[in-house]
This record gives sequence, structure tokens and C-alpha cells, in this order.
Amino acid sequence: MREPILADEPVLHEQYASLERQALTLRFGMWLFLASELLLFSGFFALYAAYRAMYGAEFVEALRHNTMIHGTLNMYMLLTSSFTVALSVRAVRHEALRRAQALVLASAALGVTFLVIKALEYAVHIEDGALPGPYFHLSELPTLGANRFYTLYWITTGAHALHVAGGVGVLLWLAWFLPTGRYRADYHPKFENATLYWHFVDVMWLFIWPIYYLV
Amino acid sequence: MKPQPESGHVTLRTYVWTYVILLLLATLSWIVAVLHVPGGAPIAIGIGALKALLVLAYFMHLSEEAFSFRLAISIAALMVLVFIGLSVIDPLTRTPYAPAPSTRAGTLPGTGPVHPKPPY
Repeated sequence: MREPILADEPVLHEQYASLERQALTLRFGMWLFLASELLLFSGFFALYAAYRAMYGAEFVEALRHNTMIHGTLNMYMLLTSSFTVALSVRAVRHEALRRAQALVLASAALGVTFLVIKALEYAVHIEDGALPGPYFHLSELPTLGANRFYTLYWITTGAHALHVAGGVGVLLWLAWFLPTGRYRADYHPKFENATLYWHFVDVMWLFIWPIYYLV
Repeated sequence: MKPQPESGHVTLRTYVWTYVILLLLATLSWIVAVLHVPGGAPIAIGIGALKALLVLAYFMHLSEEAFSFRLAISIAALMVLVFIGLSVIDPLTRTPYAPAPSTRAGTLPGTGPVHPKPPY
């Protein structure tokens, strides 16, 4: 265990009247960042909605061919990791840094499990020929709608998987610095912001899961 | 360091209940899909939206934040809905029109239909 770094006392920057105001601004900035991330994903969702309106029956056929078990397992992985991350914030608020570190590491492990399941799922699709764009050669569904579906599927889930990988990196970074005393019980906006990012990744999957795996 | 008091923050009981409800709602979505319930798509997406609200309110502590935080994310969500709506309106309303009499194929030499049937 590394020694707490007492030099990591929060610094009040000159433009803020108080640490509370500074923390509030940091958190609001993070919410604005998440709003912009939401707009990135909205492009994927809008494309999906437009193509589903055009190729309704073919989309549903392609969706039923998709690997529901993998997507559903990943749903539970992300929900559980969101829960453990939320508990880690509570632990930091109660100055239980060891517990917070264990919870953050558990969340990162669940994130890695998500990525492993995703990789297994991609392997199934590659074997079947359910690939994006011109590489699509799924013999069971030789339709333009299925081609469009799997193109969007790869783009959307690929972008989401990159976000998960980034989130795992952020969680490991948090776990590394937790024992140093960088995040105080009464001032930890950066810790909260990092956990907000992880929750955002979970929220995106709440919508990707039903439209690409369920209905 | 001063541990923050529980009052004003989401309690452990709320975290646990939120998690349990999220698991139940996820299972409900799965059941809707497996049983091929009519109107399953809007139901599953509605359940997804409900789960997102729970995560936002309690796991992301939006319920503890000021109104301006809720307003910012609500406007972003509204923009997403507008964007999706506008994207869907186009294919849903792209009906092939009957060609105007003067441009009907064969009426004028060398003219074909102005609005050919789209490939879908």
C-alpha cells in the first residue's frame, strides 16, 4: 500500500469562490461532456431507426439471428458493474478507501468480462459471415436489410466496446490512485466524474441491447 | 478528511433497491422478447428508458443535483428524440408519387418516369 500523499490537498483555483462551487462546476462540465457523447450515439440510433423503417421485416429477421445470449449476459455485467461503481462513490464519501478500491476493481473486472463476451460474440459473427458492408456473406439471410442491420450492429457495438475499454482504463486509474488519499471524503469530484462516465456506458447499452438483440 | 453524512445522499437501501429493480426490468425485457409479445419493440425500449432513468437518478446521483443538471441532460435527450424522429420521417413518407401527365413514360419522346420506385 502506498503512503497517502498529503500534498494532494484540493487546490482552489482563483476563478472559484469555494471548493463546493469548484466541485459543482467540474461535475456540470462532466454532464455536458456526457450530453455531447449522447449526441454521438444518437447518430447511430437515428440511422438504426431510419433503416428499420425501410427494412422492417428484414431487420427483425436479422435481429432474431443475432446472439441474444451474449448480449443479455453483457446486460447483466454492465448493470452489476454500475451498481458496484455507485457503491464505490458511497465508500469514498464514507472514507472507506479500501472498500472503494475493491469495488472499483470489481467493476473493472466486470468490464473486462463484458469485452471478452463481446469478442466471443464477434467471433461467432465472423464465422457466420455476419460482417459489415461489402464483407457481409451470411448465407441464411442474403438480404439488403440484414446487410444494413449488421453494418450498423458492428459500428454501434464497436463504438460502444471502445467506450467500455476506455472506461475500464479509467476505473483502473481510479483504483491505482485511491489508496494515495487523492480522493477525500469531502472533495472527490474527479472520482465522481470518472464513475459518471462508466454509468453512461451502461446507459447506452440499455438501449443497444433491446434494439439489436431483443425486439 | 470528513466523511460526508448520509442525509442528502442516496442511501445504501436505495442503491440496492435500484439494482434489484434494474435486474427485474432487464429480465422482463428478455421475457417480452422470448415470448414475442405483440408490440414488443416499444415495450422493450420503454423498459430501457425506465432503466436509464433509474441509473441516472440514483446511480449517477442526478436526484441530488441542481435543476440545471437535469435540464442539461433532458435537453440533450430531447435533441436525440428530435434527431431520430426526423430521420424516421423521411423513409416513412417517401411514397412513390404517380408521375405527372406530361412526364409519363412514353408521352414525350425520350422521357422516362421522373419518380422511379425506390429499391426498397
